[in-house]
Amino acid sequence: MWPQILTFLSMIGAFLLIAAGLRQPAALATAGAAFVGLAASGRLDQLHHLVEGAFGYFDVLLIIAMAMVFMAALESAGILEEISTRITRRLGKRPMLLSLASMLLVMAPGMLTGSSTAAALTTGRFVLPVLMEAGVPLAKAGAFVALGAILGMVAPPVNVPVMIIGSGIDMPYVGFDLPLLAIALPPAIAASVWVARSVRRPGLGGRSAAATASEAGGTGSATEGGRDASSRDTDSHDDERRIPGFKVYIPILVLLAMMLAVRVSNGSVPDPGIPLMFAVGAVLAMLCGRPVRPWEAIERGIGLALPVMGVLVGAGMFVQVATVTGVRGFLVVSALDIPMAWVIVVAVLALPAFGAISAYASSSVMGVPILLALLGNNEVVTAAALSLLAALGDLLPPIAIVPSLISQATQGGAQTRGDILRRLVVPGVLLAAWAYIVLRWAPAIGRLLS
Amino acid sequence: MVYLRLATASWLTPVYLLMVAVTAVAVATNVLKQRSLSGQVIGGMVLVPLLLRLLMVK
Repeated sequence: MWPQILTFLSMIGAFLLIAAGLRQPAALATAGAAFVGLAASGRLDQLHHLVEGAFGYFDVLLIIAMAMVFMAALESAGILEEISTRITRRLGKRPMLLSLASMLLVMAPGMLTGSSTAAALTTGRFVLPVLMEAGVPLAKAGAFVALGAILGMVAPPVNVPVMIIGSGIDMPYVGFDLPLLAIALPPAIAASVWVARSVRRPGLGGRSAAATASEAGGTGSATEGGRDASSRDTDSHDDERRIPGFKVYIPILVLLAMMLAVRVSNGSVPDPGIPLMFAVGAVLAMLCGRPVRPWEAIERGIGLALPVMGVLVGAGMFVQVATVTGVRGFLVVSALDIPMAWVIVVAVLALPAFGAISAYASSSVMGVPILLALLGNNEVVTAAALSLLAALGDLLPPIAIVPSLISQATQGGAQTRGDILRRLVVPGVLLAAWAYIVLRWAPAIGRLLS
Repeated sequence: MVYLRLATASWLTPVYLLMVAVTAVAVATNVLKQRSLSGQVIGGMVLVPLLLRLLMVK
């Protein structure tokens, strides 16, 4: 057992040193930890395991790549901007509906790609200035977008942490839609109510998301006062950029229809795979909006996906080395020795803490042994709750990837990031408590949902 | 010959190989444009499984 403990400690040490000490990306930290694990266990002649491990999450990697191309195509074609504008114009005078629609808008990219960064980088950027214009303080609006991004990552149809945990115990990604929705929906509604109470300026109905975003300038200083001439000019210019008609909804509707058809057809509709569905959606997005240069959209989408793809490759290497060296078995056996009530406490603490480096790596390294220790506790609901805990890590320092991206979008720097993080403390603790409740009563929740 | 036989094993295989190829080229383009060394290394890490799958080596 001691060799495994030493290997595990050296891997975790290397991981923390590279990620937190040297401030290198999580992808390099996981890959570096895998290499150190091989060296610590005297297996430096078995470097092929790193290549083997790189294929561990290849399917998920392709899903993320195509999903980000889809999001980039939607954004380049002006479809995201158009949908944001329609929502703001229609719901600007109703704070509750505005915050609910904003939450849905922020969650959508995360739901489709399984990546919180996708949500923060795309619709999050449009929603943030709209909320600020409605009178929500910058830190609270940022916290709202951050919560929406991680709830979108958890919500169906695509939840990458669950896919990773499932692949660790050969559990297919089937039957997760309802449990994931049941886990993500209540916090999403609660966060919307939280923000709706701060909306002080009803009457946003005439403004568009793009106009509001350009006025806010990303600095958090939303223009006060009425409509001056330049504001009217911005609006009229913005009106010229509008995309008329129903066609803006076609890419998203076709994508959802394809996903739904495969799930309800019981095999009579052939499953082309999620990556191909996103690729079809991307082609439709390029045809249904403003003219797009296809290769530029593809290159931008892959560029946005590259850090996440890197983490998946690194996490695959980490898991492969952990398996080869016996560390994974050691973790599983140790987890099985802990009483069930304590396993849940360990899950609530360890998954977000490890997720602070990478939610995907946390799902793989901590999620799999914890799920094995909780076998018989309704694995589907349990895996869904564990994915929420892993996703919570995206809000936590030292990396705090989602708040960092949001503060970058507002050009607010470290001060804004700190303010957003402080605003996230209470919602974060409540989310962890919610995950605890779901884990504790997973069998009952499972029966309720079936 | 073997590659062609494998690549056309079903109607979905060539479609998926095309997606993998497009992704690999886009990753390579991003790597060439990256200024930071860590970004280039991450791109290289991602390229390895993409190229091996494209060549159907693994």
